[in-house]
Amino acid sequence: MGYAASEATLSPYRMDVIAHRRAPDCNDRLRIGVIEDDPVHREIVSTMLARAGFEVHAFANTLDFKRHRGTAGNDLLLVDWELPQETGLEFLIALRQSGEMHLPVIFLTACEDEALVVRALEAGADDYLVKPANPAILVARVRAALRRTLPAQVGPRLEFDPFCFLLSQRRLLRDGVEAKLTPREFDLLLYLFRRMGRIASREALLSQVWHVGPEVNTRAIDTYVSRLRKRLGLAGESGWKLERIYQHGYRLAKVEPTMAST
Amino acid sequence: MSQDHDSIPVLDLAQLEQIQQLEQFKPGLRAQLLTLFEHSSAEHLQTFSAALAEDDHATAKRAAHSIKGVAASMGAMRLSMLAARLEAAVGRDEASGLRDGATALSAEIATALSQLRADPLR
Repeated sequence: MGYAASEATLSPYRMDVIAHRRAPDCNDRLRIGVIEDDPVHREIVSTMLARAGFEVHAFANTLDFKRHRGTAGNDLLLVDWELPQETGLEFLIALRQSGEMHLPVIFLTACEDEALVVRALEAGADDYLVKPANPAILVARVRAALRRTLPAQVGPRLEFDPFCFLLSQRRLLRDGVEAKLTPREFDLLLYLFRRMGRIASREALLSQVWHVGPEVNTRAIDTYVSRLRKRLGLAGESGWKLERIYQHGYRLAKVEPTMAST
Repeated sequence: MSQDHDSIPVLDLAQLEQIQQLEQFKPGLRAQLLTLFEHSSAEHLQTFSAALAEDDHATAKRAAHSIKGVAASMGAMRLSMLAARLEAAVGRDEASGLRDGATALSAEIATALSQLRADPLR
């Protein structure tokens, strides 16, 4: 198999967490959160996405999702409309009101009801899919939503003025001059820039950059973040601010010129 | 059940083919889904019956909706359609549409399970 699946079960058949992890040799580890109470559809959708190369974390309801890690670390969410306790619509409204405006959300609906689709899109959904999802359409819609929200990658370069990642050479330029980075520093910085403006959880960084589980007790992230902040002017001087969000993780965000010296 | 109901195929072979394709990526998926379907449909059926007995139509509607979804995902087309009819009947508060609803659902779940276990694509 191309991935290993693990399940945290509360009862013999209600899977509250299904994690599909891809083979370690995959380079872009985009993570999809699936919130779906139908266990059959949840498993089918998770397998479809894992087969397409995504890392998938699936949950039976929004409370489990929030308990597990919340939105941090996810690149896109697939959310069922009819969920127990908190509906998909209530979840979406709360998500957008919390300031999480850039995380793409695709709704899963049992029927293509025009009024329902309009409500979902107006509440901040990026797209919708009718269940049961067709594999090709599901993956195409997910990729399209990711294309719209992830930073544009032009050739082998990824630019975030004044920084420029030369991806194939794994080098970073600042104002056209190379900034020497270790491979780990490069991976960490690239991960944070690709998710700029969003919180990257400690668990996500350990998993995606260090390739270890969340149980590993390490101060390595703090050390690396502190070093990058100092060396690259990521306290605001460069127009970018890398900050620790207490109990959530880290966020790299563009800052206003007036905030650049803070 | 009506003549119309009996003329509807029990299973949606297109959905089963999708599951079969995924099985190549994740061996054992089909058996896992079958177990999930069996437990999930039994649980929702029990909820549906109990809710109807207590005139709790909101809960009965949610349970019928859940059966509709899980059945469609599994390719149990006829069960999904029956559950959709019952969901609509509960929503409209139609006592006549609900009469024997739980019995019909139970029978249809058994039929779907039997045909799914037989693996019609084999």
